[in-house]
Amino acid sequence: MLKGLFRFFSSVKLAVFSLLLLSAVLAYATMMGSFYGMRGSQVAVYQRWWFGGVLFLLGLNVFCAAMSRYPWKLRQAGFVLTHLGIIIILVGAFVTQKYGIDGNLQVSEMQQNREVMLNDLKLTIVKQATDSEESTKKQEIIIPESHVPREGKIVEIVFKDKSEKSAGTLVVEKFIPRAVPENQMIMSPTKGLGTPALKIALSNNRFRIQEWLKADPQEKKAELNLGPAIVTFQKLWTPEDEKNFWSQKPKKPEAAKVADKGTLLVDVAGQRFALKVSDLINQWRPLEKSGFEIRVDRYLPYAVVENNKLISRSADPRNPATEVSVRKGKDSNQTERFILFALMPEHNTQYKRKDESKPRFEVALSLMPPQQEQELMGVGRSRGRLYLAQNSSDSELFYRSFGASGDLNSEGKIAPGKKVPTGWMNIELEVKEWLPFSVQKEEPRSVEKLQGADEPFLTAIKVKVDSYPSVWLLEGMGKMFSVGGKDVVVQYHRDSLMLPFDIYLDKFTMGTNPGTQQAASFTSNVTVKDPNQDEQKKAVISMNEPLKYGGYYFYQASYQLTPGEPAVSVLAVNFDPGRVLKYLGSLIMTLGISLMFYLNPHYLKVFLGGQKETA
Amino acid sequence: MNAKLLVLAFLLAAQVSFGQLQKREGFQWDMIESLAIQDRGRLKPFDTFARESVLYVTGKSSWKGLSAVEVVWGWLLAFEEEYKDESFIRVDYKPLKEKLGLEVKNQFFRFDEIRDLETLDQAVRQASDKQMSKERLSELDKKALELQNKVSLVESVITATSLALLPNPKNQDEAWFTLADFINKRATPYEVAAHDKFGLVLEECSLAFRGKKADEWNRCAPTLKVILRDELAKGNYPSAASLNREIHYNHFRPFRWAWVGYTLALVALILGLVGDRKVFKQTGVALLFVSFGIHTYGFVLRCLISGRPPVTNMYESVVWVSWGCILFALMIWGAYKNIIIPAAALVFSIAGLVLADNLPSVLDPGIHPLVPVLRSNFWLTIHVLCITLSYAAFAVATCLGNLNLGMYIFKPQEAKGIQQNILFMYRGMQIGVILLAAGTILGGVWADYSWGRFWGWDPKEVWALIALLFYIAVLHGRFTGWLKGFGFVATTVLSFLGVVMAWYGVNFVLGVGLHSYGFGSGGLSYVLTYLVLQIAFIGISYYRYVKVGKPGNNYVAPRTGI
Repeated sequence: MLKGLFRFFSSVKLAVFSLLLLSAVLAYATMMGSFYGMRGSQVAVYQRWWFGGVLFLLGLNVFCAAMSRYPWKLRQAGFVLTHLGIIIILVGAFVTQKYGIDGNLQVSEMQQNREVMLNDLKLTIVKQATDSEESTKKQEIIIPESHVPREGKIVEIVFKDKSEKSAGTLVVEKFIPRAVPENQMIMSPTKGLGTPALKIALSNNRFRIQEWLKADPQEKKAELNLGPAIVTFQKLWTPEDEKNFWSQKPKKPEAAKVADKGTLLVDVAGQRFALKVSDLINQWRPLEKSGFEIRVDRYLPYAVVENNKLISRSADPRNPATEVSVRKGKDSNQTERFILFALMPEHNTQYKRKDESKPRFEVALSLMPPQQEQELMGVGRSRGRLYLAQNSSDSELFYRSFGASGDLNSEGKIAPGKKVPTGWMNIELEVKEWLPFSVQKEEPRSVEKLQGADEPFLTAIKVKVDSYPSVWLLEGMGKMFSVGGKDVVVQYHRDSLMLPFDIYLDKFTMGTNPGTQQAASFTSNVTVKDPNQDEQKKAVISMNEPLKYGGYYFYQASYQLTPGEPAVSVLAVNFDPGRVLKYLGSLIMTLGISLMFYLNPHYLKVFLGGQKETA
Repeated sequence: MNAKLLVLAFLLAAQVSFGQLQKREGFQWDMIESLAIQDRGRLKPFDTFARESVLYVTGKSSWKGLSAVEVVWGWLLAFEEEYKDESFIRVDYKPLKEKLGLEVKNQFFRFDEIRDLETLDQAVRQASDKQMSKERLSELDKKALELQNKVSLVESVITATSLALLPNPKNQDEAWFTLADFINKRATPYEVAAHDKFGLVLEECSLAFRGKKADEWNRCAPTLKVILRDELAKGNYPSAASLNREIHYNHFRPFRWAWVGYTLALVALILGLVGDRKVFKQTGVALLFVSFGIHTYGFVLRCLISGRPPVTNMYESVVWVSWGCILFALMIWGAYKNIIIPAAALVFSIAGLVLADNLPSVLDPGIHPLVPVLRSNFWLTIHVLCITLSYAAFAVATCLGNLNLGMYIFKPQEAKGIQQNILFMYRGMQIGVILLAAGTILGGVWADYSWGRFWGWDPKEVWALIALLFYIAVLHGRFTGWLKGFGFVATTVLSFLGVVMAWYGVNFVLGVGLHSYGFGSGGLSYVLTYLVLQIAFIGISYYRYVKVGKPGNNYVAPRTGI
């Protein structure tokens, strides 16, 4: 019986079968990967127990096959080594799977971190400290990435203190492995209780925008900033609110302030002067001790060339220019004249002089545009306003629309499905949905296939604690309950691991390909802060140049660069006790294949002896 | 004077005289070809830039007899007069033409026509929305984006914004300045005299080009390069040797000559084998060696130009595997002295090189900088070379296998020949298995080094493993007695489909994973055609094999020490 079993497991037929079975499973896994991303194939196949089973079958087969030929002869060296190598690799892979750690460590510049985020999930139940207790108490339930929590699984909420009995129960009701958070606005089940909410659409033939506006009772007004216009929505709780709504008017935008005329920058005789144009118009001013004098002959707020002459089209400072004279002493023959443009300095010119025989003097001039002008070009000019309101009895909706100039365009009642013109750029307002009192329903949606196969997906879990209504928890969320008279927080999040030391990021740098923005290299300069060591270790981690410390490997995995914020470097953290076995196994296997193919006695005879091989 | 240049451009544009596009007779281009340009992260000769641009836009390496360099200068200097009415933007994909409302039977379209298409704007917006949300793009989306890129490319030449011809005197590798920077008077670090001189010569060249004055062009065009190199670059200009080497590579087209030579060699070998004529056999072998030499030479050139082993994209791997296929065929031929081996392998190499030469949209022949993870890594090089060489060895086995399938159909009585071929196939497989196993392991070593894990179930490594498992299953199948003679031949040939999947399918069909730097699209119809033909061929061969009474069904490939 045992012998028959051994013969079965050592047979070549089983080998062919298990090789093809493994191939089929792997092919299926890559298909899953193509649909759900790399994590998808991990969860669907590679981390499942039955995949381990397939590998085990292959390993057992290899092992029995090798053993069945014991005692080995020398000519079988290649065969034995090859199969031994495979077994060692498989054992190494098992060790890695079981004891290895693979996670991510995020650290910002000039900061330190030691928390490695793992792929496994965790439900943490934390009992808040009460007055009589000093510390919080924790209970953790780890959910390995590949194991879908069994629905209906009941967890007793107990705290490890022996004196306490079970305080309550937590039931896992549902689990969604690929969830998309969805916040739905629904009508409140209790009339009059909830937030007034309005979904509006603003559109013309070129653009279209849809938004929810929620008039939170605490903030009173919902405000939506659309750039050229501002939309508000409120509930008119009191007659006073109503009065204000109908009487309010946006502030009329102030007329553009008459700007100052700009500043002249003068470089002469090694000295630099900044002079207000308005102080120089038609009057000579000495430039301190340099011996030079300067005067603005003409100021043109909106300079244009018409009929070959430079004139100002209006007083609007759109293209400020000046005609400037500079002279040395009072000698009018020694006068240089310039035309300067504030916004187009490349068009600055110097006039020819009447008397070209005398040497020119070195003077450089430029015109700085007036300060005011720059501010006007940015935001904060005039905008349209749209006021929306719901009356106190929740039966009607009103709107008032003001143009950019502050004038009322239109006002009146509005109802869902009806379009009214706002008066700006042919934009029409339509109320798509109106919930006089709304509540939010948070129920994640399960998706079969995620758009963007490599996008990491979130999981969601539905739990019921004691007799509370069941709640959905998305990764990273927590909810508070009162269990046995005590506050308990249930958190659902990724499992993490604390390193025994900190990684401090001194600096993150990204190099680019010449002349492009394409990243060519990433480098993190880090310091390892180990409390057990006196010395701090400085290291540079870059692509293909990991840091090894305390058995852990740190690789440059990714980064986040946000303008105005410190750079964030993402390091892949890896601890792999199976590494040595895998390398050893690979080496032995390769050696074995080579021996088997090229060093068997028959083959050697053919090649070395030049003997003709007969087929 | 640069303002004058612009004014002149406007004046000439105003008095539009639409003429037929004509080759400029007597114009010399060699000094223009060898201008250095900074393009997509690499310094290259203008010749390469022009070829890549014209190939991308028109799908052809030259346009109506005009060299790529002349066409690109034409876009820059005389677009209004010569190219406005020229239909040169290629759109092949029929669903795209339908969606955009273009005439479906036309292949080429005018620049304005495409640029002003609102339907294209919409399609591109849709596609880029998908890109933003990291959604998968449909074939239509990809083609729409590609067409938009073609338009942008031409536009960037017309406005000179992509022509980074002005060297950075600080350092060659810093951002160069474009002609657009120069024309629009952005700050450049050049001395005023040199700067103005360049403008003057550019203006002269422009006039000569527009006026089609060959003598003036030939006089002033060379000066452009002299000024750029000697007066603007201040010693930071790529060496003439490196520029000329790449131009030589562009002009010589070693891989085209290689496949032409291989084809002639194959014809001669077939004639020699069929009639058993020694002259033909010798000619074939001579041609094979010469072509292999050219193939190798082309590879060395490409390595020198890119400064790395050229196996980083699909084009390069196809060329490399074709090379390896000949190499292994020659090695096995050396051992067994049977001319049938290289003859069979030639079929694969010719197919590979012909595809590489004629499908630039699928197999991009451009030399581009590497993504960070692939840089300067010894293990990467060895790993990729090993794996791709294993494909080559398997290709030899497959070619011989197909030859055998043909024998079963046409000459089933020649059992001895069939058995010989099975032995050769087995030798090819041996090389393949050891290289693929070692290459996959080396990939693990590299992945461990770069990404921190030896094996990450990445689709590329998984498919390499599947291909390996297929061949190992065949090798084990011999011992069960299931795979004798025909069975061995057919399963070996089928196993190559695993290689095709690992090589092409993962990058072009599955499209996920860490090997994304090699991803591309297109060519699926060719691969599917191969697949169908291959399976059909096996089917027909099996039918004949059964019908003539299963010749050689007791043959088992050689055993190793077990």
